Parts: sequence; C-alpha cells; structure tokens
Amino acid sequence: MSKRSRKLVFTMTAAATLALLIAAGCRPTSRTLPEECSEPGRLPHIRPDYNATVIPPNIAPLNFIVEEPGIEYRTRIHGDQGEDILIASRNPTVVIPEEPWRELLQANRGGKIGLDIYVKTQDGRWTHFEKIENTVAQETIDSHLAYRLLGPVGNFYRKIGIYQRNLENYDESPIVTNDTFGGCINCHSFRDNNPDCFSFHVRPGPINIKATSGMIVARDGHAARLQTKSELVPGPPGYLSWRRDGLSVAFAYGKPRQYFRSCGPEIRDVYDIWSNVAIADGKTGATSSSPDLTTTDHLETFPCWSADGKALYYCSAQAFWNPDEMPDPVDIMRIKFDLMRVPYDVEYNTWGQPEKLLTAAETHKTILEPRTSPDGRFLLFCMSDYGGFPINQASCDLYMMDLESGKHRRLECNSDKTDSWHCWSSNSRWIVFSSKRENELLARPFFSYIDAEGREHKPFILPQKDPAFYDAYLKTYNVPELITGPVTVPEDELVQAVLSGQSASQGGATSKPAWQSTAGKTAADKPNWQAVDDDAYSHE
Amino acid sequence: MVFVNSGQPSQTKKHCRLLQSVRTIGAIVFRPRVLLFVALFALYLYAILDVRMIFQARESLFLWNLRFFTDFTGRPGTLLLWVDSLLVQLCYFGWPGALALAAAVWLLLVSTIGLMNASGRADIGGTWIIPGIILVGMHNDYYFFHTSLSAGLALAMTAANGWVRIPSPRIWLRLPLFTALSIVVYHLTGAFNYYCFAACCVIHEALAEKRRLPGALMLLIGIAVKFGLDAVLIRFDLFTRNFQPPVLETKLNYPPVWQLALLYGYFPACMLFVIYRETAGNAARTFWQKLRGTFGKKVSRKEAKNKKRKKAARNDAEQSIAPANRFGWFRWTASTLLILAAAAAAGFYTLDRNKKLLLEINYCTDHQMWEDVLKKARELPRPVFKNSLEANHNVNLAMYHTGRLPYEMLFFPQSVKNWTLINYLRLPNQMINKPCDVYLELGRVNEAEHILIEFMEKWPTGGAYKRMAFVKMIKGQPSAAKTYLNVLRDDLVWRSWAQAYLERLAKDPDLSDDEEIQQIRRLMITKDDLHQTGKYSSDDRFGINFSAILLSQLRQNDHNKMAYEYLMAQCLIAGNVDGVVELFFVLDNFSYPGIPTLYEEAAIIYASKHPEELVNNQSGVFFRGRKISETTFNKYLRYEAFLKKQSTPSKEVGAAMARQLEGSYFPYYYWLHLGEMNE
Repeated sequence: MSKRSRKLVFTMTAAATLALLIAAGCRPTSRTLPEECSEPGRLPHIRPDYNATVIPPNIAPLNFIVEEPGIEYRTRIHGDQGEDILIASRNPTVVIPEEPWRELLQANRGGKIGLDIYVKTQDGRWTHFEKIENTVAQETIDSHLAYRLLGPVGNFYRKIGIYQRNLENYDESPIVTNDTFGGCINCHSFRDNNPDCFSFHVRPGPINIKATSGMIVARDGHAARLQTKSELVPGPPGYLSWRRDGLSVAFAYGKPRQYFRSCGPEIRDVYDIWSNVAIADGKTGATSSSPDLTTTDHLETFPCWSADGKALYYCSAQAFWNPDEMPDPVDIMRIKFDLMRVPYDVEYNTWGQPEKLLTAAETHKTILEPRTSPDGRFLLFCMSDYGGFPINQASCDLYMMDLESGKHRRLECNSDKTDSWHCWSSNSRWIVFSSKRENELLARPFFSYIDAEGREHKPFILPQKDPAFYDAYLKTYNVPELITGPVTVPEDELVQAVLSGQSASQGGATSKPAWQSTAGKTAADKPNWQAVDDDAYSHE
Repeated sequence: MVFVNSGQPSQTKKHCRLLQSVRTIGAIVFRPRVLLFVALFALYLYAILDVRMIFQARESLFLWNLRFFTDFTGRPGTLLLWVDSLLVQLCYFGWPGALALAAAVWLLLVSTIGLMNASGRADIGGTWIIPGIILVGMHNDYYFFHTSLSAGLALAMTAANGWVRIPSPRIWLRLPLFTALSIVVYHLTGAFNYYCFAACCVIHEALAEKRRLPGALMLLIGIAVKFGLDAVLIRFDLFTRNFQPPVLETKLNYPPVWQLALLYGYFPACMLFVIYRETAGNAARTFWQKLRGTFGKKVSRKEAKNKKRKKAARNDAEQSIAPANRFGWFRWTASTLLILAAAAAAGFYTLDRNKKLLLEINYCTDHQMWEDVLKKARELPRPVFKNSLEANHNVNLAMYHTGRLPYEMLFFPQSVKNWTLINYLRLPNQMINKPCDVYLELGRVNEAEHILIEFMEKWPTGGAYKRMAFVKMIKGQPSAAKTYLNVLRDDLVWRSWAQAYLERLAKDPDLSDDEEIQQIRRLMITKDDLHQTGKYSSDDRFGINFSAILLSQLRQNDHNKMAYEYLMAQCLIAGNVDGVVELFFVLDNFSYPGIPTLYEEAAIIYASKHPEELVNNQSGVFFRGRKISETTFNKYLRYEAFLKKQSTPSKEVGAAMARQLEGSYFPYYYWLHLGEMNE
C-alpha cells in the first residue's frame, strides 16, 4: 500500500470513528451491568407507569422514561425464559428494541418479565432499584385499535379523523379523516371486532357540500351509505351497535345539544332534548323500533346488542325539559339513566317487554354505555353523577355486571378522572377505555386484562415509541375500539361514500320501515335533526 | 532539451486561482449597492415598518421540534411555510426578525445578479432593484405571506445560479443532475418558485448556451418533475399529522396577482433581456466585421467557453468594486441614490399607516402598555377608529386599567355593537384572544376556556396555548396545564414563560403565591348562570347577553370593579340612565373620589326626569345624598341652555354641543336620542 493510500485509509477510519462517537453521544457507553451499586430499597419512578400490570404477549415495546436523576442508565429486561435485553443510555429514555422484546414476551407467555433499572448518579456511583415486575398474559389482545382523534373541541372543529394503530408495533394510519369535506366523523362501530365490517356517522362540513349527514357502512372492502332516513327515523343515527351476525344495527337518534358551563372543572356538557332507539337492517337500512324504545316522556340511548343477539341493552331516563327552551343546569343534573334490556326475536322481528336491569334510584348515578363481552358473561358500563354524556364528567367510572348473577361492581382500574368509552377484545380477555387520568382534559387509551374470574388488572396506557409522547400531545383519543386486524378499505372509498349521498341498499331507494312505532309519535312531532348541525351551537 | 516543471509555478497558479475564486465569491456576495440596499431595508423593517407588528398580524403556531417540522415535509412548498412561521416568530423579537427578512431579500438579489451575470454575459445594470422594490411594497402589508415569497425565490434563484455555474458535463449527466435539482427545488420551494427556477435554467440552456435539444428536454423534465412528484406524494401520503398547523390548510393571504406576476415574471424576463442584449451585440459586431471585409480567426469551442466564464467573472467583479475615477464615483453615487430613492418611494407610498397604528394598539394592549394604547388611539383617524372593533375594545380596556373609563370614555367614539366582541367566532384569528383576556379579567374563566377551545381549533398559536395553560392553572388543573406548557417549551416566544411555570408548578401545583392567579380565582363565579345569560333563539342558535354576564358577575361578587365599570359603560352607551342610577349603590365598594364624571352626568339626566331625586341647597347639588360636582352641574346648565335654544333637535345643535362639551355624556345622550350615533 502506498503512503498516499495509507494516509487515505487512516483519514477515513478516523473520520468514521469520530462520526460514530458523535452519534453515540460523544462517549461510548458500556453494555454491561454495573457490579457495585447501592440499593435504595424502593421501586424506581418510571413514566408511563408500567409496573405490576398484566400485558398482552403481542404488545409493542413498553418504552418508558426513568424519572430518577442520573448521568447514565442501564435497564435489564428479563424473564424466566428467553434472552435478556440490556439497554444502556445516557438519557433516561428507555427505548426497547422490537424484535428481542417480542421474543421475550412470547417466551414468557403466562409468566413474568422483570425490569432491573440501574442509574449512575453525578458522583459516579450506581444505584440499583427494586425490580419492576409485569405479568405476560397467555391471551393475546386484538392486533389493532381504532379510535377517533380530535382536539378538545367545542362548536368549531377543523381536523377530525378515525385512525388505526397496530398494537404490535407503533404504526398509525388514518382510516378516514374529514380533510376533504370538513364535517364531523363519529360513532364508529365494528361488528364483532371485525375490521371488515364497520360503520360510522358523518355530519356535513364547510369544505364540500356533497357530504350529507348519515351512516357509512364499510363491508368486505367496499363502503356506501346506509339509508336509514324514514318516517320513524327522521335524522341520522348515532351510538351504533352491530349484531354479531351483521344483519342488524341498533342506534340512537335524537336532538343533541351542547351546553357550556360557566363554572366548574369541565366546561362542556351535552344533553339530548329528545332521543330514541331503533334498529336498521344491516343491508337495506330498513328501520324498525318498539314503542318502548321511542317514548315521548323518556330519553332512550346507547343501545347494545347482547352477545347472542336475542336482546338489546339500552339506557333510559325521564326527560324534564321543554324542547324549545334552554334547560336550567339543575334540570340537566337531574337526568339519570337506568339500564334496560329488551328481548328481541330475530326471526319475527318482534320485541318483548323491557326490563330494568339496574336503576339510577339504586345507584344514585346515571348508567350509560353498556357493552356486552363477546362471550356473553359480562356487561361493562359506566356510571357518572348525572346526564347522558359521560366523557365530560370526572365522576364517570367503569362498572361490570355479571350477567348470570346480575351483580355489578366498580372496577379497580378506575381513576378519579373520567374513565369511559370502553370496548372488549374479541376474546373477552382485554378491555380498552378512554381515560382522562393523566391530563384531566385529553383522554388516552388504557388497557386492562380481565382474567377468567372476571377480575380486572392494573391498566396500562397505549405504548408509544417516544415515551414522552403524551406529555405534549394535544389530541384526545375518543371511542377506542379493538379490532382483530387492520381496516383495509381504502380511505378514498370511504370518502367517496361520504360524498356520494348514495344508499348502500340495493337499488338505492329509501327503505320502508319494517315495523312502525304505534306510540302515536311521528316524525312531524319531533324537531328536525338537520337543524342540529354545528351551527346550532354557534355563539352569536 | 527537456524542461521539467519544478512545481513552483503551478503552486503560484493554484494560489492565484484560489484568490480569484475567493474574489469572485466575494464579488457576488458582497456587492456594495446590494449591501447598502439590504442594510437600509433591514433598518426600514426595524424602525419604520416595525417587524414586531408582522408577528402581531400573523402569529401562527411554530414549534422548534422535529415533530412539528415533519408536518411540513410531505407536500411541495410547505417547507417554505415552516420557514415563514419561523421568520414570523423571529419578528416578535424585533432585530432578529428584521435581519432574517433582510437576509432572505439579500440572498435573492445576489443570486439573481449572479445568475444573470453567469448566463447573459451582459450587465443587468440596476434592474435588480425591480424585485427589491416589489418586495419592499409586499413587506409593507403586515398580513401578506411575503416572507415565504422572498425565501422561496431566494432558494430558487440560488439553485438556478448554482446550476448555470456548474461546468458543463455531458448531456447524460447533465439531465439527471437537473432532474435531481428540480425535485429538490420543487419540493422545497413550491410550484411558482420552481417554475421560475425551471424557466431560468431552460432559457439558459437553450438560449444562452445554445443547446436547443437539452433545453427542450429540460423543459419536459421540468413539467414531468412537477406532475410526477405531485402524483407520488399523493400516492404515498408522506406528511405527518402531529400538529396539523392551519397554515397548511387555510387559504393564505398573498399579495395581489399583478404584484406576483411582476415579481415572478422579472426573472425569466431579465434573463431573456441580458441574453438578447448579448446576441444583439454579437450580431451587430458580425455585421460590421463583414462590412469591413475582415474575418476574425476561428475560435475553438473550449476557448469560447473560457471566454464566457471570464466574462461572467468580470461581470461579477465589475459590479462589486467601486469605480476607479472621480467621474465613475459620481456616476456610481448618483445611480445608487436613484435606486435607493426608488425603493424609499415604494416604501413610503405602500405603507398603510393606519393599519400599522391598529397593530401597534393591539401590541400595546397585549403588553399592557395602557398609556401607549391611548396615545396611539388618539393618532388614529376618527373614521378608522369607529370602524375598528379591536381599537374600540383596546381603548376601553386601556381606559379601565388607567382608571379613566368612568371619566373619559366618551373622548373616543363608542358604539354598543363594537363594545363587547361577543361574536368571537366571527372575529379575525388574531383578535380572538381579546374577548378571552377580558373574560379572564372578569373572572369568567370557563368562558375564556371556551373561546380558547374554539380558537385552538380555528387558528392555534403559542399565545392561545399560553392562555390555555394559564386557564388550567387558575382552575387548579396542573396536569392539563403542563401538557400545554410542555408544548410551549418549543415555542420561541413563550418558551421561557412556559419553563418558569413548569418549575413553579413542580414546587407548588396550586400556585398559591401567584398574585395574578389568586386575583382571578377570587373573582371566579361559583354558581352556573348560563341559563340566565344565554339562550337559544328561534332558529336554534345559542346567544349570550354580555350585559347579563356582567350583571351576574356583579351579583356573585359586588367587588368586581371591572364588571361594574363595564356594566355601567354598557348602560351609558345604550342611553340607559335608569340602569346607571340603579347601580349607584355599588359605588361605595370602590374607592372613587366622589361620583365619576360620566355617572354624575347620567344621574343628572335621570334627575331631569325625576326632579324629586335632586336636592339643591347651600352646600351644593345632591343626588340621592351624593354630591354632584360643580363642574358637572355647570356642564348640565350649558346642556340645558342648548336644549332651550333649539326647540327641535338637530344635527347642528348636536355638533355644536359636542364641540363645546367634548367627552361629556350630555352631547352623547343628545345624539343617541337623535338616532344619529352612527353618523
């Protein structure tokens, strides 16, 4: 090798070493655990709180920040089986490599994994904290989570979208957003945690007037409107619930209004001036209901099919106000819903007598959002102090009813802030819910394991690649729904359905109600839903 | 005999070349005229235009972090909006903003001159001042997105300048190079700047270098890059949605089309001009040579290229150095002065002083410089003031803070519809913080939060997040406040404020030693009253009554001075003297020296209809046991004299009364009853 070549090789090696050193934070870190260290005899503070919880064997790495002052950090993640993961860093952020993590979880299914954290303090001494231990459940969680992302909106909103997140890694992608029409997208609902069959509700927006209110149904890779407008159901449906066979969808319809409180921790409140429950044929959109679900003196809302599809759970409360006037806040605070169940005969499309499963009089709280577990054993619902819109109430907590015994209890995984919008996994072993425990204003999805006895375990937050992600994230996670795979209907297809105004029913004709209410209440008696667009809430 | 080069001469040659290169770069970059122009432009931006008002007019969200940056990377030209947002934030600090804006203009001008010199070989003279003057005019409108224009054009022209100066390799290398550069320029600078870049490059290739086929291919590549990149970016949806900055979706306020056409048209037009001048010159020379019958020796292609390069370098150098003789100095000075005078004239005639004053009033209000608010408001022409919601609002707030509201409110035009800013959803984005601040001061924290929630959706800014964090701290919700403070840590304007509050929250989550927060907490209402202060109209719209809010606030805390003075002002403006008198009982809660003048005057008008309420004795005139000042009573006597003199009310009497009793409630009341307040 000539002198010139040697010089060139030397220069290049030096430059590469320098670049590597800069990339590694100027000083190399050792990849071994310290031998001598002090033991403070306590657990380290880590954020998010991933301690003493039960995690699914297919969850993405639970990256975290060590909230202990130090200049160097070592973390050993280990279990009885599999290879240890050792992470060394100069900053307190612990980013776990995905592949070794996945292998470790798989190797320790049904066992435990531990986190040993070592922190080097300013004086050069190492501290070794007590081991953080989490249990790896035997049962997996559905691989994807669908949720709505939006700001803490009032009257005006700019960006709303339904997104999906792969729980096995950190990939997030939009299912549908309002970019092209500017309207509201809400009430997404999946049939039996199935990503191939779902629906959502849209309201028109300022960007494209072609988008009209209605329900969009996506099935087997195609999307279209389900035309539910009829004499019985004059307005678009909300709070949807699919029967497992996909032949019927239950929904609530009414006239919601937003109300802004002039004092108190939460400024927003929503109430229904009137509201009813109906069902629609999943393919034709033909609507029907029962007189008991469309009463004039009661508000009926939050329908949910039982696991076997032979009954409908819903919530009902007495209305106290005149629809033409703004109710006194005191009246809104008097509204308390009971939990109801009404039998339904699929074959003959007939309804039985509704029964009260749990009353507000017993609980002194309003009972909302019933969701049955897919195995039919449990009913998960929430209770808050009053009203029909729990997400805006700090008092809202999750409760579970054993459908065999009829007994209910408050879940241990609740916080002193809002916990609501819950959903079961397809195997009935996991629940996800929106909680404002971290922030008071913005909801985050939390997961909790439900064991074979129906006991819930300490919840953990949806993991993010950057563990500080939630510190400065200004969107709220609304209606998290677990699904067994990714939604594959292209966003364009969904947007086309939003903009089309076409019916999903064959021939596109407006379907006739299969069964008319006999309560003497017609659409003409009710205020027009169309008037309740967002302008209705505008301050003038 | 064989001569071997010792190496010494070649080293000298290298040094010479290096020096020449440095000199050329220096000549391109530091042109005295351009430097002088840019220096004066920076001074103008700072001292006359006042770049802080650009921030005031166009504040938008900007965060110095990667997640915010990536939101701007997915579409062509959006990076410029990131640069624009950064420059606007720098404007908040004054000098840094002025220098940054001037630097963008400087880069544009030097790269333009460099491009023309390298391409056309003919001197472009002082025509570079044309884009300079246009940009001066554009910068004069505080609301235009001019910074993205100058920065985008500067980048595009720098790229074009670089392109024409690179040595000409073979076509198979040249075209891919152009394609790569086009993709970069289009993605960085957006469509219009890219068109400008591509046009200049194609003109250079086809006309200056006379390579017609590559020129035509470059034209095709230019078009293909535009549509190809658009298609790819739509297909792969690369941009992130972390913060969804509204500047990426809102229709932005750009200068008029003719100004844009003039600006963007200048570059290709100038290029054609310099090439045409050279071609025309060459043709003339050839003609004379033929006429004389002499034929010049044939020049090789390489020699021709060297000649051109030398000429370009000479052009660069010639324009950079000072003239050699006295006459040259005179010519240089005169032409420089002419150029600067043209720019100054453009600046002078396009600056809207009223717009500037309005922004200054806003700025002073936001910084609680109350005396300055009133001073600047007095400079504002009366019709402009009357038509400005914000000026009216700011002046009333300044008068409240300086204790003059119950005394001098009527020295400024007043109108009920301008007073309250209640229609906040219809306010311009930069004004929506105003009602929020008033509600906060009044103690209506939830209303302030509601406005902020709407505002943050409509047009999120650091200012809105700052207020939201503040609201959450007042309400004792530290974890929610911290989320906004964490965001603000990356905001150049509010980062130190946010950091300070994060530290304070860590020590005391209740912030019990923060006097401002404690003061607002004392005024906060404890009983929901929205059913009394708002209602749905027949068309299902929800409305709020500002007077009802003030009254409710006063009912729940009768020591709320702002609620009291604002409510009294509302009554005065509406001519509701009965209301003014009814609220007299709260006067004692505040330490006024006697009855404030305007309230006294309203009371006398009330007493003129209820004489039994007024007692006139040796000690003076008394209204419900409160002494009316002699000055006020004398004013009333003059008012009464006016009324007696004219049996029928008329505008003339009103005008005469207003002149003699300026700032008094009497002429206002007279005008109000004349139904001519809006005149």
